[in-house]
Amino acid sequence: MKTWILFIGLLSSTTGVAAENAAEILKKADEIRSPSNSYRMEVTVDSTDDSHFRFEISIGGKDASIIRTLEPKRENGKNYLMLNEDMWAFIPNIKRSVRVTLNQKLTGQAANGDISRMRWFGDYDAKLESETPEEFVLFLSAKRRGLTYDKIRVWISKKTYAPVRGEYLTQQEKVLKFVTFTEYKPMAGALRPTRIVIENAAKKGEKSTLQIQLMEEKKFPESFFSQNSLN
Amino acid sequence: MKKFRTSLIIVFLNTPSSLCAADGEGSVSAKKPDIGLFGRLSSEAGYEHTQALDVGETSHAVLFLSQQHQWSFQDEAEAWRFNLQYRLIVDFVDNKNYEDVDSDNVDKLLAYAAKSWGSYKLGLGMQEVTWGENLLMPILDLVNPRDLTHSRGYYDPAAKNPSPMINLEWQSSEFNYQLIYVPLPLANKQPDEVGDFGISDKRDYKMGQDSEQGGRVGLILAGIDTKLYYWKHWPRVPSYRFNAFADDKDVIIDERQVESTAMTMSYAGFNWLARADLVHHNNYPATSVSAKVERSGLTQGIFGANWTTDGQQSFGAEFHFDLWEKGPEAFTDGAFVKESKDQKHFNWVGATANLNYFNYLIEPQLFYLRGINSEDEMIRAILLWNAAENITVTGEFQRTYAETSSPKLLLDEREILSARVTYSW
Repeated sequence: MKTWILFIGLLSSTTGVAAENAAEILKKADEIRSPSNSYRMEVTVDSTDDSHFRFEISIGGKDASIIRTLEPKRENGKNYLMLNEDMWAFIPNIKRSVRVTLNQKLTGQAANGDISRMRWFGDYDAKLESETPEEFVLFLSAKRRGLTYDKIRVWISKKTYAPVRGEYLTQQEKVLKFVTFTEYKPMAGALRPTRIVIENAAKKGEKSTLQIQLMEEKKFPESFFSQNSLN
Repeated sequence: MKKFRTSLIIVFLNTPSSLCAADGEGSVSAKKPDIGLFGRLSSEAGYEHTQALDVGETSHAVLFLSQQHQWSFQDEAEAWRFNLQYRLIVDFVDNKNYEDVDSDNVDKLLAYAAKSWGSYKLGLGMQEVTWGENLLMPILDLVNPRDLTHSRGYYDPAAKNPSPMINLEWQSSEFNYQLIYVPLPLANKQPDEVGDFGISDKRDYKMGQDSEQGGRVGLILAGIDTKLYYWKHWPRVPSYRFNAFADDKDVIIDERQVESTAMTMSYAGFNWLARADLVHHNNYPATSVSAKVERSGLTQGIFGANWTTDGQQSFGAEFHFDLWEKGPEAFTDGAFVKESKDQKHFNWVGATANLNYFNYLIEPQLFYLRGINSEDEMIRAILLWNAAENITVTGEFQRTYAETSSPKLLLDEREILSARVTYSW
């Protein structure tokens, strides 16, 4: 009996340590992807369908962001506001912001969340699924509705905690997209991935390349993230 | 000389934003130094041709230039920002507009200063505000007046005109608020006199005493965006009274302020969206053939749902209703009958589709509205062709039929075809 109690105790404490470790690893990986609080960045998205977009993204903490379309010029003014999981888009030809569904895509394979929510910690429960001598493999499950992906599997460097690659999954754990994080460069005070390639798992060869052109820490007042700021 | 002066003003207006954008970053200014002149500029120009099919005439042939400037003296989110938007037009069908360049060539002018600090945001100057969740029937979009002569009709968002206002927004924990004060309201733009048939417009709003005011409080709870509104204003849908056998013009505008209270809700799922607008207007005036202007309480509602496919095609369905507390004479049993004391309700159903083909090369949009207890019908079909990186070609067909007993589409009984080419930079 004592042996069983000891065994169960040992098992639960091991699970606790693993969960804690997984969350810590995820937090460190997030800190490499982007600065922790308010920042601004410019991103170009080039897709295999020959589309080219340039966005300016203002991020206020984890739950508020505004995406402005700078290119192509004909799309200028098509801007997006995200507050928690809710999203509005300013449509220039009707001159107003409207509530939009959460599956709204930015362009190509890139969803809004791919550039407006660059933090997984807090949004996902992390589990250390496996590890190799070089990498941790974390399995992330969404904590609430409305996140861009229900589940994520991500490979993180043991040496630097830099995210290397990942799989974006459905609720049923079917792979939707593959993602890679490369071209680490100094930006906003740290070495960060500046090239993110997202590839459609079902349609091989269809991919979008997100290139971070600029990233700088910047303070935004709370009132900046309102529908009225989109026009 | 006037044309030269106008050209000079345009060049002057362009200069600061152009200098800001001259850093090779497009419309985003250089980020250093912290103090200087920072700005954004977006521009478009083009040609729009509108043909009235019902009368077989070209109603507008317009060259336009629209620009949107934003300047600030600090590269900080809390800095004052100065916004200027204008649309300059030359309409070749309108001789006066073409030959005599004056303020009529400024189709739209927004000019305001805005500042965000902490949880507050303040806008001062000529602004436009959009209220309501539904897109094509602006039953709650009442803050700004409208241009009743607009080529694409009263319901088009471009028919809205800016007002001089103080616009304060703020957030406190769960709630967000907006207060708006328009000290000197501007009236809807009325059609010019045609022959002897003109509108006697004696409205002359006084600063302060004729002001418009109101506000909004909103809350997002469990993904449901709920807002409550109050707005005391001059009527946006005009009510005319015939003035036959008088020395004055044939149609009179006789207005009193209207109080509107409203509630809107929206909820977004992963690929579907639900929207609702519900508005009650007190003292709502109705076009009348009697000597007395009829006013009644009017409740209007629009309930809609949208569904978006993985391929980003969107389909929607809507239910609209108007409930008059006292059915206006002209919309009940015909003209010159005794004023009705009965409630009168009108219902419509609508369908929308926003599609895209060939990777957004072609974007068709369709809106169809049909009366349930009337023969009202409205069709808007828009075809957008993204011809090049900077060039968009838009074709639009619009047909509106309003039953004589229907108050909803009274202004818009017509059939038009328009084509527009826009170059953006």
